[in-house]
Amino acid sequence: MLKNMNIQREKSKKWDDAKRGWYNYSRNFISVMGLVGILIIVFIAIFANYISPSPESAAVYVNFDEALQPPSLSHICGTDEMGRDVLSRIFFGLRISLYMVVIVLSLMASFGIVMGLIAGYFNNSYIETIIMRIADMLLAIPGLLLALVICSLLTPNITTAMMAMTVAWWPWYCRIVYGLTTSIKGEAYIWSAEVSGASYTHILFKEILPNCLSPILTKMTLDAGLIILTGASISFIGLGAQPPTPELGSMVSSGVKFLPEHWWVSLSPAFAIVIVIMCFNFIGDGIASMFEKGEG
Amino acid sequence: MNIITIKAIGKRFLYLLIVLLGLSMIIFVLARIMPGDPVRMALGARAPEWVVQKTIEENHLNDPVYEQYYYWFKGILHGDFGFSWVTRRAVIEDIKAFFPATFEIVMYTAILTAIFGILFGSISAMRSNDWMDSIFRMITYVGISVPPFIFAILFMFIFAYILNILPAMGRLSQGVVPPPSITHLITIDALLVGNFPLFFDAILHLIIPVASLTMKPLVSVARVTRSSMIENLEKDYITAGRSYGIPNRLIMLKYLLKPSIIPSITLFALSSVQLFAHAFIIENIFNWPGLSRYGMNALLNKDLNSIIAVVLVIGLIFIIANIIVDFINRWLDPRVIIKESL
Repeated sequence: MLKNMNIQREKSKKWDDAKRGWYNYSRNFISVMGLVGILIIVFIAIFANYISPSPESAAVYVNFDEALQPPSLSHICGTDEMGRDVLSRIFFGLRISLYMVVIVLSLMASFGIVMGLIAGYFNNSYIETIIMRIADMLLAIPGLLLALVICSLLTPNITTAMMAMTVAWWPWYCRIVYGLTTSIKGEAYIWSAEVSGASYTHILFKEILPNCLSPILTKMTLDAGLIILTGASISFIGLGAQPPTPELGSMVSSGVKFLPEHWWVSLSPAFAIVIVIMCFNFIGDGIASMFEKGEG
Repeated sequence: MNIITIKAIGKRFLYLLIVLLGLSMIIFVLARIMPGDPVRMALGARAPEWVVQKTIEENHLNDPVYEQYYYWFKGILHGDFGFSWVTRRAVIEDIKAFFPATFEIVMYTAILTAIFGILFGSISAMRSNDWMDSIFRMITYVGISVPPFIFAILFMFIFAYILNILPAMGRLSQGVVPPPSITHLITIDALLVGNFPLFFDAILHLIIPVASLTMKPLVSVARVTRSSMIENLEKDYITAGRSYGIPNRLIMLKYLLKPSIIPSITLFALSSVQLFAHAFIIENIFNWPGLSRYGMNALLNKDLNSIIAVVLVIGLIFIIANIIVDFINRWLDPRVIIKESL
């Protein structure tokens, strides 16, 4: 009975925390705008097949009669050199961008967190040395450059690009978690867990990890925009998604040669990239300030 | 400058050199174990078989990877980065030829970032919750969210094509003779020989690439400056200074700004190195004959020696930038030394 009540109290406390968090978040007009924007983008990305004016434009499709049409009512963002509807391709491009964000974020955060936990918990051992020195090596050159090098050495496509981004950015998560873990490790409750014979996985994931979550979540939301930016940059140079895949960065780059007369071919996907990144940044700022207020 | 500072920085330098060595190992191995035939790619399909075999022999390409690394590392110690398959020159010569153009862009970008980032940040902090602050914050969001290559295309479209007031391609207009190479930076060379029309031509060509690269680091430096100034503004020593009647301007510029720009300087150094990566894309758009475009060609052609050399050069710049930041931070915040001597 008592145990039940405790669980209930725990639950209602969590619910209160969530409510307070949402209150802090919704105070900020810009963050709410970002959230609404992302919801709309997710909707577009999921139902791209149904709401885009011409879904066949996403793949290999040629219609030279309508090539390079300026924006009009039937083609809101105009058409490209193959006569494909640019707006439809943007819709499908959003799908690829979001897909990239989800995969890369989950891969690099989970790998970085595990590595950081291990390195932080077993500090002053060779495990820590190996993990942290590898992380330092990868941080010694700009992430975008490292990602480009990896993409060029392997076959250029979206999967490689996502893998390369993961390799280039997991050290940041590793560093954050490592720092937190080394400081949490000395706390009394970790000792008591050790003394009562808890396994390493229990200590690492049940005792230490929950205390690292808020900085990690903040970093993840702030990184979402960065991933889209980097993915678009890699594809822009031609080391990421290959045509005819409707990736936003490669759409911008293939449209550059039609500037300035046919500006819509490259400027409308560029605009789409900016909108997505901006929405993610708005959310990131909102979540960062939410945690700051929650702690203070 | 005391012995502790020198010791600490020496240690750091050594450590970073080891990191760089490890990085070279990773990329070297990655580059060598990848499928593909760089010799065939370089010599062409028509090259006779014995030439191919001889080239492979000469470059130790049939040996195990660790032996290849040994030969390569021996070359590095002699200042020899190997031979580029694409340009058919020694890689070190290529880097000497292409580096100044990139450095010119990055240098101007860094200068503008440092000046305007700190300036905008402090203005925004001093007038926080003012209309200027809100305008600034809107600009911040735009600056952070727009990738540099989109700024480049946008600026090119607006200023070079529609308004037609700035040139879009290359370092100099066609038919203009470059100045004699003294520092290899065209703008500075032009000033040194006193050729002002040439100087202005070079500056005009720099505006769009530099502007599109500057936006992102400038905005992030300004943001960090703003938040750390606002944080320090609530500290007791500022209130104490106010109660002594020290003029506001003096408090802001001397007592508030100096401790507040320490995080900005760290961020500034890191983002200056990041610039080299973004320059990869920008130089391609503007047909700028720099290191990044050279590296880009190497990447696209799988020119292994050049790829490693470019990465190592940028890594070395990163190390140097880190050490300079260390020096500046020690000068701004002497407590760092005290902590180390304890």
